[in-house]
Amino acid sequence: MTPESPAIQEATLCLPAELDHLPAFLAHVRRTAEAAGVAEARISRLELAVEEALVNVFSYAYVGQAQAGAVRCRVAVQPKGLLVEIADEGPPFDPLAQSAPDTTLELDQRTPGGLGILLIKSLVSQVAYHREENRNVLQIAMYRSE
Amino acid sequence: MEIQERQQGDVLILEPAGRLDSLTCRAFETRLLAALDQSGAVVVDGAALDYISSAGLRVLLVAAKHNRGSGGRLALASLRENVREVFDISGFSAIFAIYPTAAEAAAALA
Repeated sequence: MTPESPAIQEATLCLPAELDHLPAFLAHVRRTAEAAGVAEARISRLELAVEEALVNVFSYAYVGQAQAGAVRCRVAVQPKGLLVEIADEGPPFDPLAQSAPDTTLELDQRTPGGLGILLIKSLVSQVAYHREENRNVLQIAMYRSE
Repeated sequence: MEIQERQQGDVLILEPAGRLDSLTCRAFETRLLAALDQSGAVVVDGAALDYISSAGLRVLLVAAKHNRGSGGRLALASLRENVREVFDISGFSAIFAIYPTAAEAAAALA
């Protein structure tokens, strides 16, 4: 998670925050990851983390707006691995600050929801949130190896 | 998403293929809840399931709760390693009955 280290290569995709665009975003991440030679098992985990992060943005970032705003997904290839940066222009919201669901509860006590953030935190090498001007930025790093 | 359906005795086996994610979860939820209402004993065979996200987990949780109310039985089988990892992280490995094969799961529910 070192944005100042030089990126060998990077690609950005910017589309409306709509579920219909999920496959395009995931293909964008996968393409870059494959070109960078990241192992399939790691790409698969990264893809899941990116889906969870994007679906959160699609669901919450532009609630109440007539038209969905944009999501920017930047993928940078770095010496250690990949850095995926997901940015939206919704109100300030830190997904990582939300409390995690208790995964030890019995079926009757479990309620749907909250698992997306837990999956992101568990599956990738590093994840960090910051607010940048009027944007929420989530940085997801997946190293080539731990 | 393509969902194969077969019967083993009184047990209905659903085999979803491909990705169970935010795009496909609605279709799968409809099929799974209908299967539970129809059969009472359902196995979800994960042999062809490449991927599951939290949207897919949500469907399974909703189905299990739906099932509790109606006295139905639900089990899972043949989960691939990456799907199993997602189950482990989310605590679902402890709340669902998971078998190595669909045949074993169906035998257990019969």
